[in-house]
Amino acid sequence: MTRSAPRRSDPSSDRGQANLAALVVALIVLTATVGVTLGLAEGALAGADRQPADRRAAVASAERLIAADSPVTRRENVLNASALDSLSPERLVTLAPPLRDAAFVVRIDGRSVVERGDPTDGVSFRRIALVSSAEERTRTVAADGAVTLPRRTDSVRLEFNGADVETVRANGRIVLHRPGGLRGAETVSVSRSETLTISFDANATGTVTVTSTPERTRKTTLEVRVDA
Amino acid sequence: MRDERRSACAVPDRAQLSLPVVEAAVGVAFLLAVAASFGLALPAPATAEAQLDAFADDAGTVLAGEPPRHAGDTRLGEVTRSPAAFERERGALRDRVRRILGDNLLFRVETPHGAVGFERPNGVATGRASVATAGGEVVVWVWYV
Amino acid sequence: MTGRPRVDASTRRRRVDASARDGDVRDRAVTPIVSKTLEIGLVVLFVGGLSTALFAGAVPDYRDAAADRVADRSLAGAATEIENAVPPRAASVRVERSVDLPATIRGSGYRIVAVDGRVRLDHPNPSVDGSLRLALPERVASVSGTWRSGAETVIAVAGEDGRLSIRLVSR
Repeated sequence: MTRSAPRRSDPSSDRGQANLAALVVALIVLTATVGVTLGLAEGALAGADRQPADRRAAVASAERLIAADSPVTRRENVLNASALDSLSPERLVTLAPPLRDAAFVVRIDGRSVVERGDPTDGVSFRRIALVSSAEERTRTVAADGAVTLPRRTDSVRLEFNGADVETVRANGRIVLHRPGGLRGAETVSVSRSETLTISFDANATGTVTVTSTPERTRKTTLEVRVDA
Repeated sequence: MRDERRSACAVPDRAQLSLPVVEAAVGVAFLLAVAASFGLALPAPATAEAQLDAFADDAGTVLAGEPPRHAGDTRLGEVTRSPAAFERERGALRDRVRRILGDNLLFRVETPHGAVGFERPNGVATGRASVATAGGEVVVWVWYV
Repeated sequence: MTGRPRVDASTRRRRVDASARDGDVRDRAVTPIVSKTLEIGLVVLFVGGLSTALFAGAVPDYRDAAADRVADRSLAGAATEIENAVPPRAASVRVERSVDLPATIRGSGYRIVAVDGRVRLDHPNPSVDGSLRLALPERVASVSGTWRSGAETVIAVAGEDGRLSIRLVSR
């Protein structure tokens, strides 16, 4: 006897409707997740930017500054203190063209030497260098004796007013010779690696003024910060 | 009979309703795993090594340009002249390199007659530079403290 | 023997009951087959639509951005190699140094051209390009030449002190 079944919906038709709704909800959730993933991708791409152009400009400018043929160095990695003070942004841009349209600052031991603009968001690169300040030391020497300079120098200037000298020897090597007697002032380059002894020929008379430029060096850190 | 019918229909009822939810959860998990791979940190040691290489090069250049303490063409030339000269000068060399590099850098200077400085660590970015002298090659290693 | 017809009758009754119920509900909702077809259609539509949206819009943009980054780094690396190739002061020099460049960017080859104190990257895709100025000492008189990606790329420095010339050579 079939009692009329209670009018409750067939579970199979329940399945049909609920499935579709659940599917739609699931697809919406998936779309939202794809959106979130795209946002994360955007963030990752932005965070991976290591500013290669700025970094290269900083490295190249630092290298140009401490190179041997730079206008602010005496020799490689040895900076000239006075030339540094007179370095202007325009001269630096001529020396390092990558800085042409960029904001930059050059610091020596933390103190800013050249700057233009505000490079706070830029990349910085450091080099280790020596800053040398040379002062002149002058002494008057009798020409009939030899003189040993206590501090090493790379060049020495001799003035022969008031002396009659034909030959000058530096550490035994002849560096100046003029049979009629040396006149005026002469500059001689010598080696920085040796202590210098200057002697004259045996017949020399009078007094010679000897000027040397011993160097004082101190270690510094050169920092270049560039933001293009 | 009604019980059988109810039980026969109840089991499929449960499974069918939850399947899309499970599928969606699996799909979301896959997508988020891919997204997590975006956030992996990129290696930075390449830039640190370039800076350390520059520091090592500077230390070598400064040493190669310095007058020797006693005899030889430069400070480095003096140190590499002979094993005896190296033993005599190694303390002064170590002090000089430490003054050049400062407090936050450790170093190791290897010469043909021996080495001064610290042991090179593994897994840390190090910079390297080499200087050719009359007595052989001098290699300077530099790393951050 | 008597049990079987009874079972038959009850099952027949059940089947009749079920079909009668289906008949009742057919007006209210869809059958399982139709709903499954709808689901499949919906999922296919979703996947198709999402793929189209991604590959037509988002993916090419990201590929272009990544290619631009790779080009920037390659150009900066090439400029650094050129600057490092200048030898110290000497009477007469001849230096050849080989340089590594990525073979393709965004799937196609490119060229790095040195002209007028700059290096420039030429690529068929308009959003991938770059130009950098070179920082060279005064001894360098000229920089010229082109590198083709995929060829053997070499820097050739030659000349005497004060007049060095740098050429980018692709072999």
